Amino acid sequence: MVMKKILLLLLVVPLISYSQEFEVKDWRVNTALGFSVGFLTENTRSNNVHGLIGVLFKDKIELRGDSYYFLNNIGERPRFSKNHQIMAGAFYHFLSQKFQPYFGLQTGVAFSQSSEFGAINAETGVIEYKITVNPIVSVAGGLTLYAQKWFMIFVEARQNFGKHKSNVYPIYLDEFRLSFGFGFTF
Amino acid sequence: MKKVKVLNLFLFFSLFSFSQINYSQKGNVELGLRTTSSVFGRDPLLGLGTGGQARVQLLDYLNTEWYADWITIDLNGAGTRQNAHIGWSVLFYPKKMNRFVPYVIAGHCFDYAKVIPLSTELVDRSLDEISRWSSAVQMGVGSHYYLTDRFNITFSAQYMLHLGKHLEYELIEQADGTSYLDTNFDNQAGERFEGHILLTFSLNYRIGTFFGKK
Repeated sequence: MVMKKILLLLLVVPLISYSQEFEVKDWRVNTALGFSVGFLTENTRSNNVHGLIGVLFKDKIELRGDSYYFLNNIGERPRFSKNHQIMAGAFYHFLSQKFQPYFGLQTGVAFSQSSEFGAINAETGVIEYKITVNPIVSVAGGLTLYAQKWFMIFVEARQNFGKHKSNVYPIYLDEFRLSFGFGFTF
Repeated sequence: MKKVKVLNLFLFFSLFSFSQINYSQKGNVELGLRTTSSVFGRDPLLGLGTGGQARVQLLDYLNTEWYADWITIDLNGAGTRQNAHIGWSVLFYPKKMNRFVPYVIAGHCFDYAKVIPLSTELVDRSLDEISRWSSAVQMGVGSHYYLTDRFNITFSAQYMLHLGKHLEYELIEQADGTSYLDTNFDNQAGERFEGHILLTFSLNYRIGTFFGKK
């Protein structure tokens, strides 16, 4: 019941204050935390916690770093036991107002570990699943709503490209992700 | 009437020239992120990389770039090649075209490479892994495009020639269509040149102009 009230408050407060004036600043810092669902091939999904921090110049160009903390894979072919990602890049905001659609490109690395393919260690006789650092590229677009002086909401879609490469069979890191979250702007 | 038109035209062009910004000027310091594809190397395979760079512009027509890259290549499912580059380049701007600034680039880097053959739950090939440090030179062309006075996107194509010993391995196609990665098969490895093309796309932001301001 308490959770429901908090959720309602989180949704209603920004909408009430939506009518407030929006001030374009020389620069602003956005930080946010959200939840992300990824869609992989073979009816498989990933669940991730998504965090971001960005500096937005004149409400036009944003330099932003994102991190994804991998929770799990579910579906017909869960293939990773780890797939944490960090990436950074730039976004162009099309409108300098409260409601800002944006589009951008990021590059980064995935700290990934296969849950399918392991390799035997001849010395110990144990099957090992190596964590490797793999480059990824990501194209993303979304919407930010600056709801209050300090408050923002975002929804975002992105497509990741990359491949988990290790001492075992390579696995595509390609994934379509949808994120939403809340954050602070100052 | 004609005089008014000429006056308007004059006004228009003077405004246009007034709004021209020297996008790439002496003293600029930029930070950027890059993604690099390695193509036409010793294997007909595409590598994907990520990295960063800093630029310090020494003269209006001369810039320097300090970069680091991490590139991995899937060797046809038979193994992985990992490459790390850390180096520097000099960029020469023969002609600036407002927001569009083409350049010629040349430089040097230190290079680490590792080749990891595929292991399975039954076969451990970790002893067949090979690696080495070497040095390389690179040269090519590229261009910045300034979206704003501070922010630019850059694309470049460079040929990188490795100077030191290189890794010798061979992808052997097997009867079932899969590949087998054979490492250390040639002890004359160091005597041949090895090169590849690097295609780099980067996003860069000018953090300031620290010297040479007019």
